[in-house]
Amino acid sequence: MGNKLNFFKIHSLVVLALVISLPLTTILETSYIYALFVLGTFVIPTILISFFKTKIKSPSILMLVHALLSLLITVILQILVNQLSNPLFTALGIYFDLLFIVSFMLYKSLGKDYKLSTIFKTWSIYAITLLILGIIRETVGKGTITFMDLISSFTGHIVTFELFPSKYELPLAIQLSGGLILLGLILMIYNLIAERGNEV
Amino acid sequence: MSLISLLLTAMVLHNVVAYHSLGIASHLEHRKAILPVGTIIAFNTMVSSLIAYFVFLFSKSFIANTVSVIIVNILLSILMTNQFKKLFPVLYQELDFNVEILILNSVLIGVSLLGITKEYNLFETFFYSLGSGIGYMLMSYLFHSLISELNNDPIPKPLRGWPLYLIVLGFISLIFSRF
Repeated sequence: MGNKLNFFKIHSLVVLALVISLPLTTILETSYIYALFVLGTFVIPTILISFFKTKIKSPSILMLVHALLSLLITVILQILVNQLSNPLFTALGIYFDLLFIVSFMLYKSLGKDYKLSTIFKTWSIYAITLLILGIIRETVGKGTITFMDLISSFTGHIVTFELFPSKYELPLAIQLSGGLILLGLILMIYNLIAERGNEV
Repeated sequence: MSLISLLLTAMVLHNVVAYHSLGIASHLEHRKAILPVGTIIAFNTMVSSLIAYFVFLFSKSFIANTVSVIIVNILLSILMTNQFKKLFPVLYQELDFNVEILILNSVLIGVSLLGITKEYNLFETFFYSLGSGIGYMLMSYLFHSLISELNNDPIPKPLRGWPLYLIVLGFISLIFSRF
């Protein structure tokens, strides 16, 4: 079976996509919103491309079509978010534009495998890791869990839970260095699980 | 802020890799790739930042910025990938498909947009992008030197590869943030 279970070892571009998204995982809210945006900019163009892969043989043209579709969706999302929730637009900052790069990396990590299951598996692993990072970093670093705050101007509700007093916060968790170390540890745990799975 | 301090800030304090987590790529494992790829990225960063600056002068719309920055970077990347293929054919074969990813790097788009959001003038944009490019190369070299040393040590198997690289990068980032 070899390394079949070890997703991140095979798809190192997914790790790079996660590293780019890392600054947004300081709160859970931006983590899941970003993961949903990636669903739009990566999954939709890739599914559309998978319909044309028999007609368009050149991988460069497929890549260019994916890039343009991804760019179009990014722009539409930017217009919508800017209209609906300006705080979210400000919070995402330059990382909103980097959605394009994240989607491109996830697309490249697929290789030539455009199966629906592979596309969703890649996105799910990316999204789950982003959520885990968001939950741990916010809980440890701020002592809260935020489901809805930046989008409250759109939804009309603020949903935030305070888990423990601020004196127990660990500021390292919300710094970039803490995020990188945590992501490294998560990947290590993933490797460990994959290794045990291979042994069994 | 003087231009020299802006250059140093972009190189060290607000390093693109250690401060913004941009531009981490798999070429860091290849010693031979660091200088050529780093130079191309540094050059592309300067060109795309200056183009983004001029686009921003004429259009203050964020949509125009996004579209122009991304399209300019795609075109630059195609051009640079072809040049890279001609200049370093052996290295191109070694890096294989990852060349597009290396050259169409998040550093380019990130630095171009950061220059716009910070509302730098032409000279500031030039020095900021130059500093970011040099900072990227410095960080690549530092990172590669560290991981090549660590790879020779007896490290537990689950920690090898990306987990180790990210933890090392986390510690480098921690040191940079304490300057």
